[in-house]
Parts: sequence; C-alpha cells; structure tokens
Amino acid sequence: MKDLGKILLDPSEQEEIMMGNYSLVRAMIESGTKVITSYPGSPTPEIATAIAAVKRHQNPFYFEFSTNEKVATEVAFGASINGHLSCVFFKSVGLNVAADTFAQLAYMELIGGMIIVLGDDPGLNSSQNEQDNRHLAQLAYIPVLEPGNSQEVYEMYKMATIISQKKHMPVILRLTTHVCHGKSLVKFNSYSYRYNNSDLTPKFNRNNGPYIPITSRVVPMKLRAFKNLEELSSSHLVTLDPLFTKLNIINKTKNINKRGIITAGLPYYSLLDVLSSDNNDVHSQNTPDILKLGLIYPLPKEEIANFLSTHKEVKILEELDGILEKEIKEVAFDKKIYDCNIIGKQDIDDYMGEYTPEKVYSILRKVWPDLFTTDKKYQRQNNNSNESVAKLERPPQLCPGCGHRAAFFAIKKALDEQDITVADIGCHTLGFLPPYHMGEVLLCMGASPAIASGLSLFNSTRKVVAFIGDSTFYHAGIPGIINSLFNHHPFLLIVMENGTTAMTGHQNHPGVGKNFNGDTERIPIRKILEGLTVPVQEIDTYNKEKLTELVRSELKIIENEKNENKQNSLRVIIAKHPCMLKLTKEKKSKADYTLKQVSIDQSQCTKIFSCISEFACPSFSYNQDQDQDQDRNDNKLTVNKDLCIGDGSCRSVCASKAILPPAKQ
Amino acid sequence: MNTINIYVTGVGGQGVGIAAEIILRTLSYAGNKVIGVDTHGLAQRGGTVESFVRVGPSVYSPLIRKNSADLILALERNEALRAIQEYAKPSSRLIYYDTLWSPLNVRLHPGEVADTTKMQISEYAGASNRNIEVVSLKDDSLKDIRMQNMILISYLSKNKIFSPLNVTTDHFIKALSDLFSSSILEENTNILHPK
Ligand code: SF4
Ligand code: SF4
Repeated sequence: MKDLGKILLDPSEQEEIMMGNYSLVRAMIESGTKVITSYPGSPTPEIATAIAAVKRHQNPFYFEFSTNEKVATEVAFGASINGHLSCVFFKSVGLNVAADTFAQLAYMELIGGMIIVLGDDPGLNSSQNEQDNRHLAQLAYIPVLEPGNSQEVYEMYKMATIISQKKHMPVILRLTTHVCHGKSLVKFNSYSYRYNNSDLTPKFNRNNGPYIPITSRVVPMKLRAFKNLEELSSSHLVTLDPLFTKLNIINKTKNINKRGIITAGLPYYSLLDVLSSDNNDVHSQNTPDILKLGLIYPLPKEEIANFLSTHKEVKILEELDGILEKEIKEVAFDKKIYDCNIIGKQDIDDYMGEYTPEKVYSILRKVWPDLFTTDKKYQRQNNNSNESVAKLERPPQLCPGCGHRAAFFAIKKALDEQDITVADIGCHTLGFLPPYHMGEVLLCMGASPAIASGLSLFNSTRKVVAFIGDSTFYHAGIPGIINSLFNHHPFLLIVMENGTTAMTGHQNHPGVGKNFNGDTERIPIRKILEGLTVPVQEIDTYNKEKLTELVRSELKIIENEKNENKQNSLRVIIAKHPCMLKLTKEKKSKADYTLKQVSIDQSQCTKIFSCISEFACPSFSYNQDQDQDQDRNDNKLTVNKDLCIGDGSCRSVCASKAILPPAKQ
Repeated sequence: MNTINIYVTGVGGQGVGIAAEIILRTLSYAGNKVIGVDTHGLAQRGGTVESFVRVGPSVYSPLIRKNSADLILALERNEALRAIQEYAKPSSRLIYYDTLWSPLNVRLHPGEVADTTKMQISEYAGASNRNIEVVSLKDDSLKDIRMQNMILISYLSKNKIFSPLNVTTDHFIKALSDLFSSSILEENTNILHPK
C-alpha cells in the first residue's frame, strides 16, 4: 500500500495524484507550519486524515481537534503570537462559530503568521446553508486566496504563509467542496525545511502589539489592518517571492469581438472545460479571453483595470454572491472605464449552487448565445425527459443497526402527534425522515436546547423534546443548557450519545477518553450535567420499552411541575448506543469475525410490516429473493444480505415474533 | 484524443470511491492524464454516492456534465438506471453489479413505488434514440460485500475495456497495490487475476 504520510514528508521533488485536502498538508510541512487546529466538518476532515498519516512517521507539527471552531481559532492565534506559524481549518458554517474571534485577527500582530483554511460548500453537499464566506473576510479585513485544484491548493497555501509571515497578518485560503475533494496530479517541489530544528522559544511580547483592543486603542489596530491590505498589490507581492508570478492567470485567445471573462477558483476550470476544443459546439473565433484571479480580496485593481480597458464586454463569472462583480464595477467607475460592458449576475439562479461545467455552460449561453454552434446537450436532455420511468430518490439514512433508529422508534411511542421535537446537527438529524419524523426543526450546532426553551414559553399544551448529539453537546450545546437552568425553561433534552463524531468520519470528542494525539481523561456528559444539578437518566437505546417508559415519566414530571407552578427547568435523558458503523468496521477487521444476520420466519409473518413502516432498518425490504420482474402483489418480507449486521435491535418491533435471532446465514 | 468520462455510482457504504480510485490510478499508470472526484460527507450514510473519473489531454473540471458519460459503473440496480438516465451519452456502456438496496420510498410505499427491474434498464438503454450497451454482473459466492466493486473492476480488466487507453492487467495490479495491503490485497488481486 502506498504510504500517504511518507509521500507528504519526503523532501524530494515528486508527482502524485491527490485531492486538495491532501496536497494542502504537504504545503503545511514545506512552509514549516507548527500548530494546526480544527473542528471536523465537511468538506475538510480529510485534511486531518493526511495529517494522521504524517504523524505516524514523524511529528513536524502539533495538531488538535478542538471542541469547536472558535476555540480552534483561539489556540492557533495563541500559537501565532508566540512566534509559531499556525493554521486553523474548518467548514463554511464553522466560521460563524469562530466569528467573534476571527473578527479581531487582522488587528493583531501575528508574529508567527496564521492561515485560516475555509471549506465553503457551494452546492450544499453537507451544510445547512450556502453562505459565501468572502463577505466575512471583507468584514474582518483579511485577504483571501482562492485555489481551483490540488496543485493550486499546494502553491497558494505556501503563498499565504509568505504573506502572513512577512506582514504578520492573517490570510484566508478559501477552498470549496470539489477543490477539497477533486483529485489531480500535483507536482511537489523539493524542500529543505528542517522542522526539527526550528526555533521554539516562546516569543510573546506586549511590545509586539498592541494586543488589547479596547476603546480608542483599537483605532491604530484597525489602521494597521487597512495598511496591510493596501500593500498587497501584485507588483509588491512578486517582490516577496517569485512564486507570486503564478498568482493570476491570463488566457489570451484570438477572439474577434474583444470579449473577456474574469473568474477565480473552481469556476475557472469549469469554464476551461466548457470552452475546450473537445467540445465541438464552441465557436472558437468567439472564445473570450480569461483573467483568473488568485488573490480575490483585496483585488489587483491595476490588472483588472487593464483587462477591462482592453475589452468591450467582460463577464464576471463568480460562484454564489456578486462580490467580485461589485468591486470590479467600482474599479471601472473609479478608473473611468466607460466603454467596457461589465456583465454580472443576470438572475437569481446565478447566485445559487456550484458553478459546475453544466452551470457555466448555461450561464455563457445566456450571455453570448453565439459562442456555441448548437444546443445539442439541451436537445438531448429533452429527448430523454418524455420517458415514463420515474427516478428513485435516495436520501441518506441511518445505518443498519444504528442506535438512533431504536431511540426514535421508542421515543415516538411516548409522544403525541402535536408534541414538538427539535433536532441538532449530526447523524441523528436524519430522524426527521419518515417514518420517524423526530426532530422537525434544525438551525445549527448546539441550537436545540435554546430553541426548545423558546418553544416552551407560553406553552402548556404541547410537550417539547430536543435532541442533541454528544460531540455537539461539547461544541456549542452547553450555554443553551445553562440558560434553561438560569431562566427556568422546562423541556426534555435527549442526548443521542454514540461515543464519536460520526457524521464527519468518527473523530474523537471529549467524552471518548482519547484525543487526536492519544489517551486523555474522559469528560462524561453525565458528570457535567450532574455538576449543573440537571436531573439525568442514562439508558441504552436498544432497550426500547424502557426508553419509551422513561420518556413518558420524565415528561410527566415536567408537566406536573408546571401544573404546580414550580420553577422548573430541563430534564435530560442520555440515550446511548455506540455508533454501529464504527463498531462493525472494528469487528470486521478482526480475524475471528463471523457475520450473523437475522432472518424471517415466513410462517410466523402476519404481514403487519411494522419492521418497515415503523422501524425501517434499510435491511428490510420486499421480495428481494425473487426476480424483480415477477408479479409483486404478494409482498414477502426479506432481509437484505448485503446490509444486515445482525445486531438484533429489530426483533422486538415485530409483534408476531417473526424475526429470528441473528445467525450465520 | 477525445475526453473519456467515467461515472461510478452506488449507495454510501458500497465502496464507490475505492472503485473510482482504482480506475483513476490504473489509467494514470497507463500514461493517461486523469482527474476525478468522489462524494464525501452526509451522502455516505446510505445515500446516492457518485465518483467522476475523466481521462484525456483537455480535462479541467473533475465534474462530468449530464448525458456525457462514455462508461457508467453502478454497484446497485436502482442506481444503474438513474445513472444512465442522468449521465449516459446516447451511445455508451453501462456495467452494473446486480444487487438491490431498496430506497426508503420503495420500502415505505410498496405498490406505489417499486425497485427498478432489469427489463426497465434494458428498455431504457435500447430505446430508439440511444444505444447503451448493458452488462449486468453478480457473484453470489462473494464472502464480503466490500468486494462487489472488485467484480466490476475485474470485468474491466478481463474484457480489456480500457485497452484503447493502453491499459494492461499490470496497471490494475499496480493500482491495487497502491491502495491495499496484505490479505485484502491478495483477495482483491485474486478476483482480478485468479491463480
Ligand atoms: S454513522 Fe453511526 S451514528 Fe451515524 S447513522 Fe451510522 S451507525 Fe448511526
Ligand atoms: S439485525 Fe439486521 S435487520 Fe435487524 S436492525 Fe440490525 S441490521 Fe437491521
């Protein structure tokens, strides 16, 4: 097996196909990044996979998964003002959590340098919104570099460290989902950085600052943020390092009508694809010139003015919001370039979703219909659409055997139709799907206790139940819980404890007893809650009947206290079961593992199908042992041999006792 | 040379990403320029997952446009039909592993929504405006479902599907040894190249 850690550490020149999340780690090593922090979130967790691969060999840096993004940013900041080059990475919405810290960074003299790697998610692959973090970068006066593939991730991270270390200012490297995950050939330079010999003396000194932003002292600090930004012209950057000659790319064509496109990041590569000679429906004499920007904030105004004044029409091709567009129009106005038609976003659709080749194609067709010879692709799709076969949707769902399924099945039985259930972020969010419909409102990490508090105001008729995952509890759940004690908001909180950060790939959290680097003291949720004097009950979710009972009795206590006008607050049930995906994987890797599965006693099956209609483990389906082309009227329940893991948590849901105990099949 | 687009799909947990990675490395060892991307995140929990592999001198974006895949590999029958509906060129090839993981709606609404039949796939593939070659594979003797993807890979190798791209069995084996070690490598190589 190829050893990713060795490849990344090897100081010689080499080539390898890898995703942006991996090539980033090579750049971290080359540039001598000393402290790296994060909170797991798609599309960035594979950066930590590569870091883990490196760590097995040698430890050129310190890495931790912190409890949340704000904390991670603070740890990286602390390291930087002590002289270490640091980096924090997280997903798009993670920046909202870190924002309070992030907004001051540019005011500070970051003597070691500090890089913020953001994984934005245009196209909403794994996020609750599609926010464009370039807005927040501008709010905080922090420059942004935007790579479009693995090679650029590698190079631009190094550029970011050069700016950051020379200017002692924070720099953002903004990635998007398919830049993080896109795989292409990366050419690594050789490097000679000796990470073992770097200077580790703690260098914090108040004279490097000021580091205290209060009242009028903030003014000079804000001024330095502006001055730093002002200095980042292209001509200045190339004096810092020859690497910066690669920052912007200009593609000149022989187009006769003086058209141009300004773009950045992955949309540039979508554009190249659409315009490539391989697509014979492109009128090559109409192909526009392209200016691809590497530094997207602050903008290289000179280059942009040049490009605008040498073209008659310039399309701004940017994903999500019209940020470049506004700034480029400002440049044109200020430089009095009036004879270039600047074409920005044209309709709402242009503000939404990822700029895939598909999308770029349709945008260009709107702008310049004569760029393409025919509308072949569309015709082809139309041809297909009058066919009758409907497409089957396949949303994500809880794994076979997942403890959350047993929990939802049991909790639902204790609730009335009108009761209100609140979800949080994590695998358990999937409980909103049928047949459970558990957790019907969701905002963000750690929000459920406080949303439930609001829902319980002026509410004596509908019971309120909130769910929260264990990692999320530590991340941002605790303040909402304390608030409900402080201000007396009665509701039932159910902690869905699976012993890991499951959704993002099973990272450890403070309740596990292990951090990224080794063993650590467990911080049990139960103890935290008991310390807060919250009444806590703990139960394994496979114990469904007891769980139903417990939910009923806890809700009854809350109701009674309300009726007696007692000042009551939340009560908690910890509904725990280890993540079965993780557990099964661990079991399968052992030599003595034998797969056992449940089966159906067809003579006992009375076709009530509660195993599907109420429990819905993906292993249960109809007629899978028959040729599907046969008559399907007589439904026969079957267990999918690919899926069943034989945990047996389904058996008690069948009133007819037709589900036989797990056995070797 | 024209671009070749390969679309690999299945359900989260089936090893779609690994299959695509094997293909990507195999094609690269045979001297082709390749790029690709896999689904990560939420969809890996039992949702539809897809990987793109693109080959040719002028590939830039890792994503494939709708109706422009030359080769589609699917690890599940429902996904096989969806894949050709969304991604197949009118003249292309579908190779799928014939297992069924019924989506939620099929299970919750029997009689209204049904799993895809083999007939539906061949009817769609052979409709008058297109010509999609369909290969359906299954091996009931597999002892671990995580090897279903290797059945597709070994079909590609044995039937020299990539020989126009200069691929030989050795390139496949080299790719496998990049990605697996010890007993798993041995078992996978065995499927590819029985001793
Ligand atoms: S990953 Fe674990 S917690 Fe998440 S759905 Fe699967 S079994 Fe449940
Ligand atoms: S034993 Fe099998 S069918 Fe029953 S819940 Fe577990 S995975 Fe599902």
